[in-house]
Amino acid sequence: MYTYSAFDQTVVDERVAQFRDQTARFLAGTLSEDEFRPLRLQNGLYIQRQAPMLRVAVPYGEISSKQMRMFAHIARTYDRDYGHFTTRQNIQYNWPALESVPDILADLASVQMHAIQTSGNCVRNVTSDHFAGVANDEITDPRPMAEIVRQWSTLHPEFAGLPRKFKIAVSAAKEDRTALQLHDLALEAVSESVWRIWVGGGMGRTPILGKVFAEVPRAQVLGWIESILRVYNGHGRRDNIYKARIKILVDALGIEEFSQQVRDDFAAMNTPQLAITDDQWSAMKAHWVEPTLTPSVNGEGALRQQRLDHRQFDRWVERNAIAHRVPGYAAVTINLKAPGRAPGDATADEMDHIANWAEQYSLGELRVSHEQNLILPHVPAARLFALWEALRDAGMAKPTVGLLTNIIACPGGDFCALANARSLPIAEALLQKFDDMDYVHDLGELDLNISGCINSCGHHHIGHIGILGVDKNGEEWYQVLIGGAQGTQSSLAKVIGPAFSAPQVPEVIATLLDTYVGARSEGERFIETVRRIGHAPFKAAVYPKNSTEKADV
Amino acid sequence: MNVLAHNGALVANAWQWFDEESPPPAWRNAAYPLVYWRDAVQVIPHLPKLTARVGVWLKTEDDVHAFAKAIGDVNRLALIAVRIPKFTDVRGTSIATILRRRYGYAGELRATGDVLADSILQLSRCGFDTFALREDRADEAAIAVARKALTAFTHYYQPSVTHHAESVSFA
Repeated sequence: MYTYSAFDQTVVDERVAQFRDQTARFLAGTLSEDEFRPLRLQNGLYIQRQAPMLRVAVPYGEISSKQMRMFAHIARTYDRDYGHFTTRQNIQYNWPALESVPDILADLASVQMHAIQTSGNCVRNVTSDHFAGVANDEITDPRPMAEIVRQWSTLHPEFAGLPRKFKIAVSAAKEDRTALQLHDLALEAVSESVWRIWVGGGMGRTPILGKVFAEVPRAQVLGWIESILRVYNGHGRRDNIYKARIKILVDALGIEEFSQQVRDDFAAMNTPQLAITDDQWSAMKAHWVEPTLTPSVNGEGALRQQRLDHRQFDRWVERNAIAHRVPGYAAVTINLKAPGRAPGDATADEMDHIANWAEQYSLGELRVSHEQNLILPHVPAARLFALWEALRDAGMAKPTVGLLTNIIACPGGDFCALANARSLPIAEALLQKFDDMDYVHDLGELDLNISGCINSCGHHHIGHIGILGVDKNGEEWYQVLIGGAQGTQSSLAKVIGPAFSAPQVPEVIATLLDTYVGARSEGERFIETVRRIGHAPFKAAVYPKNSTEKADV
Repeated sequence: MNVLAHNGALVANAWQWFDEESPPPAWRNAAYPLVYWRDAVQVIPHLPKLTARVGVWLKTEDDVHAFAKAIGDVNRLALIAVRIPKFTDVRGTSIATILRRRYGYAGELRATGDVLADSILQLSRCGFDTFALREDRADEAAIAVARKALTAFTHYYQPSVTHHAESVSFA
């Protein structure tokens, strides 16, 4: 894992002191609400429906057991004993008092963490592959590049007030697990020394898939990102927040003209100081020492027998564990989706347990996934059964990773001031309705994503099934979309028709699933069936009366 | 009114501000006129001793490249000011970076308009030398806050106009 140098520690400590002073001036009335807003936002602090909300950065989703214990401590000391893991690999607290936020940030700094640029119109916390350093299909480790981007973007003086937020993802495996095409900018490793830059993707009101900007030498990556941001800073729209993301600028100019402006800036501005030298790269890579895992086939036999003896365990291994690239190890997903639990939520006690498991089973390491789960990256196969028992007893072993009820959902109208509708009651209704594991497993891989408003924090645009909360005359309604996908074959979901009331949603989803089950060919996933037969049969099933009058779109 | 310099000093302001489209002849008689660049661009090449006594100001929406092209050599100007309409609009930091790095501007670069204590460190790092703080945030207490803001950090991760490679942590 990356560990802070004295330099890094100084930066976060000085940031805490700076924010403590800003907060004091706000509370004393010498800093107005308007003046304080962007300052607090760039430290992760929103003012929400009920209370402030603090979003803490987990850079590229990697944390230690010690840091997880600090999350538990913060939940207990300053909040209401829980936290919410987000689709951007961060954690949010829903109830901190404004006055205590500087203390929370100081506590975070004591374990090499911060809330810098987790919101606001700036370069946001960088995200990456939650199976970095584990996955078999990795081209190179994405974390050194992600950390370089984190450092370069942290408190960058030129880009602290962009037209809108700017999200960067780093992917370095054959399979994309970062939703890279839905980012303002993404870096994808072609090899360790050549990186493909994607630009202009995003969700929100106008979902657009990113476009390839160029493949560039590793040394030039920061120079190109700076030039892209400089063109965006100068020309991105500031008159309408719904048209302010870089995707709108790239679309308006066309990728060719946009790229020309960036190349022009790069040629004229590039500074040698921005180059990532080979020495810097090696020094950064050295932070991620391959853990000393002894390749082992011992335990495989026992594991096989345990899987034969315990059907639930077998299913859990099948869904919630993936093979580590070191034989004899697995990366295990701690499932934060179950009836009675808001997707991504964990209590302070649970966080402490999770920290313990990380130490007992996974060298003290953890990851946050953008699907709002946690991951133990290095678990010996021989210890999977013991871990499963512990997780099962704690209610975190639903064998549903990649399946229907691995629901992604934003906090929605229960907490978020932006939301048009609540997400959590819909998620809960679906988790309850589809709690038959045989049925859920028979359905196969299926992503169901729920957002409480068009800002799309619940990634509804890339759900195989997406649900979007909308406001109609002050009432909560839900649009249903199908056909979205993340990964190397990304696509954007489309709305199937008029919106539904909350009580109708579970039945509508059941109808979509029945339609799929009736139409699927052997081994075909939901998304593949949708792509093969189109939306019409699904619409016809959901809207039987008028479906024949409507053309497929 | 005084302006704050990047080193925390208060500097007397000699420049007289002229709004856009003010009667053109008026500024030519001023000792240190600070004029909207489009109002001056026709006459600048014909004025003597330019570097000593003419400054121009830009809006953040202006095309800095068009500006540099029209002026020819930006170093003929003694002062370039950027008027910031709202402190959350940071196009000025890119304009400053471009003027310093791309066009080699070496003269005084001043931030005016909605300039607040909590923005000036960023402005300074991008090459602004002086700050005309917003009038209601320019009293003695506010200046003390601004001075403190300029020294809030001792370390910076990235190179900028004023800080170079040795301060990059990943080096």
